[in-house]
Amino acid sequence: MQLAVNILVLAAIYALIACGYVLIYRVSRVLNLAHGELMMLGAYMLVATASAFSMSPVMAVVIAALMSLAVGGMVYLFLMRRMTGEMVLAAVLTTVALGILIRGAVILIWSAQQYHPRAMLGWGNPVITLPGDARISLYAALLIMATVVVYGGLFLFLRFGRWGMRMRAAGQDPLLAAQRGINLHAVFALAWGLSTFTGALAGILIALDSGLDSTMVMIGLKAFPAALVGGLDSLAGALLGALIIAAAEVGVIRFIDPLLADVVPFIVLIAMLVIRPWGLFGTREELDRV
Amino acid sequence: MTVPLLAVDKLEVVYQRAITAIQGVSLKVSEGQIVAILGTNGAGKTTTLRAISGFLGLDDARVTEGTILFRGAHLENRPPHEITWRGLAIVPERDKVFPNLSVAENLAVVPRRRGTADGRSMEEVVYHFFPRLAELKRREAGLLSGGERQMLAIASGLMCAPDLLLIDELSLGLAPVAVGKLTESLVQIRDELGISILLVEQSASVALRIADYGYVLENGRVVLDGDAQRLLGHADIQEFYLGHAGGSRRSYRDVKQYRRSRRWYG
Amino acid sequence: MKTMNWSILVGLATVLAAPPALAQDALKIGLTGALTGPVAGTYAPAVEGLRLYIDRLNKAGGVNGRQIELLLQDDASEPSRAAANAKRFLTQDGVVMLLNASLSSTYAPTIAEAKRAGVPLLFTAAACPPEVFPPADPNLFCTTAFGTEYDSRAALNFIKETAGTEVKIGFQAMAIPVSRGEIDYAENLAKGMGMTSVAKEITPPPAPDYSPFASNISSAGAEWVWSWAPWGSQIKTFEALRRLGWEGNYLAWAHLEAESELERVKDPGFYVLGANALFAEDLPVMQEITDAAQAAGAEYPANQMTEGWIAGMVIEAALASAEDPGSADSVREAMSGLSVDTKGLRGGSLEWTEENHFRTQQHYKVYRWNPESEGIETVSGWTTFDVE
Repeated sequence: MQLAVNILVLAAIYALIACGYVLIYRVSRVLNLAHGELMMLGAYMLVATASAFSMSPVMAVVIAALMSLAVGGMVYLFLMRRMTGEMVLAAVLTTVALGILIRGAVILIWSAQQYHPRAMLGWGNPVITLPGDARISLYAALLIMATVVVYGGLFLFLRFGRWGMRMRAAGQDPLLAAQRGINLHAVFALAWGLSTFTGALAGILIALDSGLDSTMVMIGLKAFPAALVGGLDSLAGALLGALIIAAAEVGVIRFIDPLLADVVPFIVLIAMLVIRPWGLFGTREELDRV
Repeated sequence: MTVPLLAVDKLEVVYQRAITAIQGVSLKVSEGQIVAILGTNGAGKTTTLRAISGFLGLDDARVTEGTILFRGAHLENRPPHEITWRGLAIVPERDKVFPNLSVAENLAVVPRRRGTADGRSMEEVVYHFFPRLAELKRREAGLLSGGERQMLAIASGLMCAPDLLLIDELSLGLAPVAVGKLTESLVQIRDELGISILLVEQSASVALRIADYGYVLENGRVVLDGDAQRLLGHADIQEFYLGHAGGSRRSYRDVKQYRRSRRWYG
Repeated sequence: MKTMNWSILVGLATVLAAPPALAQDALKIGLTGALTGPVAGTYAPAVEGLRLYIDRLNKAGGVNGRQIELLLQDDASEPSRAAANAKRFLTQDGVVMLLNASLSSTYAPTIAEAKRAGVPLLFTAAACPPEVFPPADPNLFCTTAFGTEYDSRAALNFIKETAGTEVKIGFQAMAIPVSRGEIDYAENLAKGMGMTSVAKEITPPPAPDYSPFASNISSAGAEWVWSWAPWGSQIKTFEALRRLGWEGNYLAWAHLEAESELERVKDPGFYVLGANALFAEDLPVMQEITDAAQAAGAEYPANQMTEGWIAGMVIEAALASAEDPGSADSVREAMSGLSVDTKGLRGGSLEWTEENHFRTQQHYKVYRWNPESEGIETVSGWTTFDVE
């Protein structure tokens, strides 16, 4: 039972982070290698708002999440917009540079100290006992719920929302989308905003559950194989990819050797690249374009 | 004389900062007119149309000379979505629909500008002109036949509520019956909605059947223009575009004569 | 929230400006440290403590009337940058002592550079390399609290005294060589002492969720856990264990963060073992550090600066007792026979001999949170090990 819970929690973490990679890749074919940093920045935003809004903790969380939405949009408008129409590689390299910048800025602003936003907000982290004597902390449970809500929301939004349809359209054919009067900059900015928002949500919940320091970046990187295994342009794929990788990782920790935990996602990834390079749900044709 | 809806003057387009695709192209479209641009492959028809409808960064193309005036406003090098908002929609030659979106979604992604004068929504208008699309609403656009796809493309263009519709190669790869229906629809659209249409066609017979006025492009220049009737009667058009060999056969060299004809008709 | 890390900015600016006319005969020492990067949290507070100590020393007139110029360079825990920093200090700045406050991967290049230039190298914030233990490399010295192998001996002794040897023990390490090596040593030692080792979890540098590792320890039925790893992985493993309902005792190495973390976690089953006294003891020297930190508007809490402060004391003593503090050879000679009073920050004075550049004696204390007194209590006073 505990094993299943552990898998679910880890899968939720990976999935919530991975959908950010997918959103941006899907609309603009850009691999955002600063996603881990943006996610960490979102969590640090909470540190900022937690001291500014110490009176109303919920407000602090909401504002931190909304700020990251804005940050994502601004990253596009002030930085990535200039890369639109340039080679994809140039855009990817720009995200690498952005990541280095954010990492430096975070250390300058918040120092290298450990933070515990939950303690700052004055919240506890009660443990919920599930049937089968499995246990899960409140924030881990919230993380699973957030993942379900985010994926459900994104699915409905992309399927039925007018802007969601526009995102799909722009991802398929940016030129035609522009010719139909869709403002590509608005669509891309929205994708960046949503991606950063979901990433920050993951970052915030992880920070609330177990604290925050600058090593969070590496967690963002670990979620990357989940997105790739699922196929970079598919949300359903990211969800399944996250589940597969989490199951493999937790299984290896439990039954083989905890030391392998770090390499398992990449072993799964390599196996996937050999068998089915475009991912579980990815589009085959996409691969030729990369 | 009134100001034409669209006035293109001495347009020059350069690709990749080096390759000049068209040079000194001038043309006009007036309110309610159907105008055709004719020419063989590589004559610069599509480039002209794309220059009017706007380039994206990834096209790596620019208007370097000349002007494009739409209702008196400059459109050179504006982004495509802005041009569409101003009332100029394009139906491109290839990649004209979003294949993974359903028919209804293809129509729904277009940002709302306004309905028609009589208060109908653009969706109603579109389904009125293309009742077949209403039956196919839920089908993925990638699964449509060529004719249906062209219908959807024109319908999507109409969703932009344009004053001028640019259509690139209406008849390409379609059965004559389908082409006939589509051209009928275009005339109907012009008549009912007052939308002007600029057609780019390889098939002069299709274009001149419905056009009021035509331009002939060769090697990135306008070599001949005139009323549709007059063009239909022109010997060169007869021979090179309609395939009616009149009298003695001429060699390709004589095509250069268009440059001289340009002066006669200009 | 701290607004800006001015100390780092100012430090870098000082280095970049490199003012040679600052003090004609200032004694230069150069430090390469992980001031930024993922592990900066372990090093930056110590470096700030050292800087505060040197500033205070300079204000009080320096060493024998000579000012000390502490040059700081960030290496972000990258070996190549550490090497470049060291080279710069040694060839351009002409330092008389080189300091390393960075990850162990930066040791090899800095050791090589220092040896080539014949300038003594002092490790001030991370685990001491084996070369400083007897028989010591003549050029290498270490002030850091960690003492590999001695730490585990002290830890297991404490567990033995508290719970006897009929105990099921689990271990936690991080997947980096120093941590794994120490925990492997500890596991063998425990077996030798008659304890039952039931689990050894080696976690990746950052794990998104520590529950899977904690589950293994918990389901193996560990009653005690000894953890010797960077702070984040120690505390996160412990907190994950508690979330799983584990009721055992957890002994972790007392890193810089230990004190504030004991106060945050408030769990009487969570013990920390270390060689530095915690500020809860409120010694006069701790008040000095707190005052200095306050006056400077320090970025990190004073109770994380002990390591840096001790390094400062040692540097001062070395320069003061050197015949010619402007000569690296003379400084090294002074360091090879040094005794520094740590004023209670450690369990005794820090002594170096010709043979031993770690220290002749290593002292350990164990602390935990006491819920009744609502404060940190000493569970086990200084226990001393002779280093041979």
